Amino acid sequence: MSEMLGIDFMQRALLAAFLVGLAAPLVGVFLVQRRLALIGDGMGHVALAGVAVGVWAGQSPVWTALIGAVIAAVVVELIRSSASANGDVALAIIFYGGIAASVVIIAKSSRGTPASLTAYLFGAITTVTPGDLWVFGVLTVVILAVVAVLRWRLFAVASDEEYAQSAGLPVLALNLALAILTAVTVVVSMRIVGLLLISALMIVPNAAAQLIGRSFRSALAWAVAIGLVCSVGGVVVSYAADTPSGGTIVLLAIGVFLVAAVGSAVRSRLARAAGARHDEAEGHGHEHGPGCGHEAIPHGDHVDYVHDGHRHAPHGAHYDEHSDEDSDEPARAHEHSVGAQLREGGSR
Amino acid sequence: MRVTGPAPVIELRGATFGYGERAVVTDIDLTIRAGEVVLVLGPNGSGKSTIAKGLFGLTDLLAGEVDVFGMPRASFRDYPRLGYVPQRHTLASSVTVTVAEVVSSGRLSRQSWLGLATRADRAQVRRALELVGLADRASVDVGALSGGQQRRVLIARALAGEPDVLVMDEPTAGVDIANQHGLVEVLARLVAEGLTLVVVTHELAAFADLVTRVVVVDGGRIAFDGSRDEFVATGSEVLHDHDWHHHLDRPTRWSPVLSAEGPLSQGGSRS
Repeated sequence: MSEMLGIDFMQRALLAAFLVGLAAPLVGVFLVQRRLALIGDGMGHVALAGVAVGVWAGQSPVWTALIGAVIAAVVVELIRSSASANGDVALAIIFYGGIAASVVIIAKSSRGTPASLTAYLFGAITTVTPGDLWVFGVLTVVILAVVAVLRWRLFAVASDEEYAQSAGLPVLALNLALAILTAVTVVVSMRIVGLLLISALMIVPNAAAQLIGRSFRSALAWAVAIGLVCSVGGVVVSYAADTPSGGTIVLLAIGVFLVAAVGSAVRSRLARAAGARHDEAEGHGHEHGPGCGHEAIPHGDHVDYVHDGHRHAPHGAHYDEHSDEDSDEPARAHEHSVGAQLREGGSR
Repeated sequence: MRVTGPAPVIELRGATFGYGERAVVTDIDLTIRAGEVVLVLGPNGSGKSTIAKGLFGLTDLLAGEVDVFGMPRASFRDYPRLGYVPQRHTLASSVTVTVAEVVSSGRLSRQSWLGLATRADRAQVRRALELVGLADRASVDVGALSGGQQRRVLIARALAGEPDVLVMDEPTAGVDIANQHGLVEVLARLVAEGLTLVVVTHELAAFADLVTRVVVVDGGRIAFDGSRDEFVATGSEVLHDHDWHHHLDRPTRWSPVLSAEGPLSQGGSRS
């Protein structure tokens, strides 16, 4: 371990992995929410054309990739928001145009061959230069700052665009901001994860976190934690096992997702078993609330309402039957107790 | 019967709304004043939702004028005053979102871009949840709620912005009778607090006791505009192929709610 940390390129790779693991899930959650899980992949294709131009011109490929990805992001979002019938085909043309151009440009370049694109496509830990690290660091700070300021507005637009517009939110500007954030994240990730795999690090940690978190906020915290562990862990494994870093990181993330999926399935099984023991009020048409006419009794973290001699407590879309004595025992058998523990561990 | 005293909160003069070049509703004249409870009725495809969306710029204004709080819609910036409850069948999404998180997004239009949610913001979110009777479920995943409860989440989201006027698009569509009652109880409380209500619906029955005025849209034009009583008197002629007016005579179990005082008058439980 200390030997590994003593190597210059490994120090840079680990730092870059940290930045990627932090930024990618933060941006990706809004893509998941908008059902645009594959859009980052397309931007990676266009960024690759930028890389090829950089290699051909002898410039830093990071900057040319950034320019290519940001232009693609803006064009893609404008096409999407115009909701034109051929928008889908237009996106396909842009994305495949990007990857085709990159191969052709590289082949014509004296400085590289199509084989030299592999490191950009799948990530390689030896490729992070000190200059790259500075650029990635600044870009990550920009991503964090923009997400911190805009997150609830991005959330509102992604969850209900029509409502967001009615409330005066600048919907197109916010969607463009998200597209550009995605493009910048793609570029920050290009060394470590690779342009063909970066979308996975934006999406998979969020997919896993959705199985764990009980709110948008806590799921996002979980996603960042998972992203960091997989990204930094993937670089370490990549060094030890001599594997491409991008593939290693993404396989780790998918492993975490599978564990979360199995855990979630087991948990809902247990909750169903416990559900047999928890007592749901039958055919409950009335909605309890303050001033509903039924006596309200505070009961731990919620309120019971006395309804024809029964104590009813809200649970999801229905009501549970509670009694005076059950304040401890049934709560342990309850699905919510698991959720509460996770919530405590996950958020804030 | 129509009150002429209060200032108009919404005024449409010869308004034509549509999408792109295509007009859906034409030449609408409609003035809504503070304190009214207006039901915009009409069969599916009549254009009633198009009018509601037009108030928020969600459909294009092709001709005529729209004033909101005495100001042309295009220059209206005081967004929170005009609350919108869009027609949505489900709030379930690809990510987990709690009731409180959805409702908090209704507060954004009152927050500065760099500002964090203040104590006042959180208090208003809590109050909105209490008003719709969902305070107990603030931390529940919205996807786990029933259809009727999800509608109330959308209402609470609009209420979080502290609107003076609430425009609701089909709030009862797909909601079972028991939950419709709950919904109308909530609206009755809000009206008692002074909220102006515009409800776009094709189900009159649920709102029969709440409504002060009825507007019927048919074939992209206003076919009837009058008080509740005028509508009862002429309803059968206006609504040739519907039986909405039958429901008006039926006493409903939430009638007493209308005459009761608002929730704020019930003591300190809300502070």
